[in-house]
Amino acid sequence: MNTNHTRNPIDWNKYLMTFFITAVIFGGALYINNLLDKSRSNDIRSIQDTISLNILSSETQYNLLSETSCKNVNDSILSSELNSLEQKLSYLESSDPSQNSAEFNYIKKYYELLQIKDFSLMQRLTDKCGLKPISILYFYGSKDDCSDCEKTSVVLNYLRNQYPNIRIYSFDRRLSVSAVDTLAKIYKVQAPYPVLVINDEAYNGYKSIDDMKNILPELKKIDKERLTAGSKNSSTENSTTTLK
Amino acid sequence: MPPVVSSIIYMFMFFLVYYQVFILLTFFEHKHEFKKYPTNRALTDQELPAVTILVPIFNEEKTVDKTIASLLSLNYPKDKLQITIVDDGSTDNTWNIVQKYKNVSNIALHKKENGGKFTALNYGIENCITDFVGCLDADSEVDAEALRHIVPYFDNPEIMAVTPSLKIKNPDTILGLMQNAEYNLGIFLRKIMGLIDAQYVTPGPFSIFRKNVFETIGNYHHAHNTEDLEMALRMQSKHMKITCADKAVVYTVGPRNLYRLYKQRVRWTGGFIQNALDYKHMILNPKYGNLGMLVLPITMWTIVGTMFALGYSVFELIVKSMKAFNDISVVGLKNQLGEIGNTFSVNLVSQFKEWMYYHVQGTFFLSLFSFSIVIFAVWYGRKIANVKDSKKMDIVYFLMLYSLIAPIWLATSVYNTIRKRDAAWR
Repeated sequence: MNTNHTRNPIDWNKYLMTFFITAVIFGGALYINNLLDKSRSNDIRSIQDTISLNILSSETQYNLLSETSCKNVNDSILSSELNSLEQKLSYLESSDPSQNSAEFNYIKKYYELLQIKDFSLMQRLTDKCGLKPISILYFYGSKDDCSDCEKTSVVLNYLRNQYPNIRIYSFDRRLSVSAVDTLAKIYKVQAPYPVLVINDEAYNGYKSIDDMKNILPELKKIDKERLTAGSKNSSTENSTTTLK
Repeated sequence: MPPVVSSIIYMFMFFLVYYQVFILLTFFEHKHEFKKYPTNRALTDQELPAVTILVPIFNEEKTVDKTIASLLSLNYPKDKLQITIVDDGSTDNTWNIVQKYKNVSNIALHKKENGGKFTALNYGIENCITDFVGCLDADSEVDAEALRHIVPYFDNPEIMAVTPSLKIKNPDTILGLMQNAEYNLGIFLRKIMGLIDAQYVTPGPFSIFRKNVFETIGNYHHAHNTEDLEMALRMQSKHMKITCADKAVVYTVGPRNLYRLYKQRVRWTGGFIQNALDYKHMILNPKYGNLGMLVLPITMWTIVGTMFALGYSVFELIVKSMKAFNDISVVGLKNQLGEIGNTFSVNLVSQFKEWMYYHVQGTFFLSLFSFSIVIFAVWYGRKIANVKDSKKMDIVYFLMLYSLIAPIWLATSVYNTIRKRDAAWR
């Protein structure tokens, strides 16, 4: 029997060929990845365009307001896309930390300007037409120097979903947009963050849902109305059941 | 995902894809050798050599009878087939069950004190007088033609051991189907490993050896309860060739529940890691061919990569759970559930329509490539073993479940290795 066992020598050419094919596959995957990133960049650019258009449109609305009858105005006239834009921006911010690039921050600045436009137009409508929208200005900082900002965002998101008519304008103080600085000066907003401006008054620190309802009694009123409407509905249902 | 994490994952995927491309190239290079008979013609009864099959048994009362019956049904001359049953001190009814074979001329029954499977095998090897010897675990059954498919490979004097194609017996549960696909994948891979001289296991169910393998390199060792793995590595370390008889089919009973499967895989995976570390001089050593330069390093690297991915996933899960807990503490559980419902019904539905929300990375396309190769290998494994198998859904269960549960036994095996602890048999 053969006791001198030998092994076939390694076919290094095959190793090299495998490396080459793997590199091509990897290159292909990275190329597709790059294409997708480009498409995402285009999406970001389209957000930028939408914001520019909205700013222009809001300026036009602002100018037209003096000639518009209050009859044709309601509180949903302005920037209906604000929410959708906000949703996209927060998705981009959370999906990939590298999105916090100069381009992304630029769009965020644009978005903050749009919010200020929307807010000032809303203020004007309030004065002219007697509309009483619920507006909250939310100033926040980085995670490191604003431990309560995350909690406050959760509360505000909850309020936004529960009360769709509420208008929440959020401003990242790290971006240093001069218009935001002016807004902060007007309402005497000062660190530490978070700071909420409600009915022209600045509130520092975290506010729970109950605190917010105390500051904004309108919310309690809406809750009450909903409760009454709910009990009416259920009593109608009950009486229908009884009739049956 | 932080750039450091994604870089490590890309690096891990590069080697995985490299391995798969190498396997694919080997397949195309040797495609003509698949399903091919190793000799020009089938051997006649006179040409067939005498073979001893050892059946080590320990508390196998439920399966041993069928195992022996399948051996007796082998299409092989009875006078050239010796069946040696070694009871390793069973405490149940196993020994009484095998008594019914005591008068069968080619069956020898032995009972010894319990010492572990490897001692039962060594007992059988020491009493073996034929030139070829194999083992059949008592939870397995052989196809009638299996031995006739294996023996011709020994026509090549360089071949020292031949492994069969293993299949799961009656896979009828989801777990069984998952293992069925896994075993079909194993058939393909074992054949490829045989072709590139890199088999690192001679499975307990029906691997056949030249007897002088044991005379040259010694008998089985305890080897962290995976003596079949260590034997293959020891043979490879001495450059002994092991090939695979892809048409020789052996059916084995897979674990019927998740806990038993977990125990089995912790033993296998832990055994692999510990034996590979015992033979670490082979890793990245060109002297040991493709096994040393490719198979062992990449398999070890895959274990490291999977542990890294598992660690990162657990970390992400903890971070997300903490955030969810924080959100609940802020708005209350009821409100938070409402929020989730709202996010799902409003946000996700609107996001579904927009391309921007499909955050696909390069790793996705690489995984897609990887999965395609696995699907191909499972399909081809089924084809080369030439077994009519209608369990087409098995691949779905395999892909869905395996990646979820395998990291668990992998983590336990790594933990056992660090603690220098061998996994129990059962």
